[in-house]
Amino acid sequence: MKKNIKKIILISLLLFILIYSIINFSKQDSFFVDNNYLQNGFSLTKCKNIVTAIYLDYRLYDTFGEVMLLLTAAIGVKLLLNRR
Amino acid sequence: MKDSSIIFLAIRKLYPFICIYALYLIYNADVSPGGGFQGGVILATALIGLIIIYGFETVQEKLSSKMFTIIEISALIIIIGFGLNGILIGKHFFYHFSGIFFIKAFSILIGLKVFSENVSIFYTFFDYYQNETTAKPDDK
Repeated sequence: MKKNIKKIILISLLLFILIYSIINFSKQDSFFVDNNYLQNGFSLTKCKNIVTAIYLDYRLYDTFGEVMLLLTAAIGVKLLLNRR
Repeated sequence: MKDSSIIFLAIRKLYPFICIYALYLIYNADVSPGGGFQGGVILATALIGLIIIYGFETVQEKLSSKMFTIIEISALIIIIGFGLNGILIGKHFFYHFSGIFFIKAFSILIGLKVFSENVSIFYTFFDYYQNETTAKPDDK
């Protein structure tokens, strides 16, 4: 029963932090980055799809990390299941 | 699975359309939804359909797993090369090129890489499964 109380306290703390941050997120006024992307995105990248402009031009580093993550998954599968 | 004529006919008729759809998604990443990741996964499903109807050995004779590994690693090296190009100019890694050519090139490279990676993962799973099912009678 004591273990369960610890779990309940931890989960309620996490839920409190999550809900508090979600409620207060919309009160922020300073979204500098996304307004900049929406206004100058087409003229800087010449890309009509703003999602592609962000993930293949502004945030190319993140996409590179995603590609490396897939490579890591493939290497892990080959290491675990290759029987030769 | 090979004997079912419904699956054989359906996958054989759908195969070119799936391939064209995936290539369209990869090439038109800058004007329409989609991109390298989605297109690569759809191309991989087309090849998995081929494996379902023709069998693993028949497909692997034409498209070996070594070829897919070479495609994967060469696509990764070209992506890193594009990134190092920014250092040669004098700016940082993955410098903002501001051109439609680089977005298309990155989309195609990422599509090729995701396609070959998914296919090689599937080949490894299938190889393991076949070894498991064929090795059990010999052990007994």
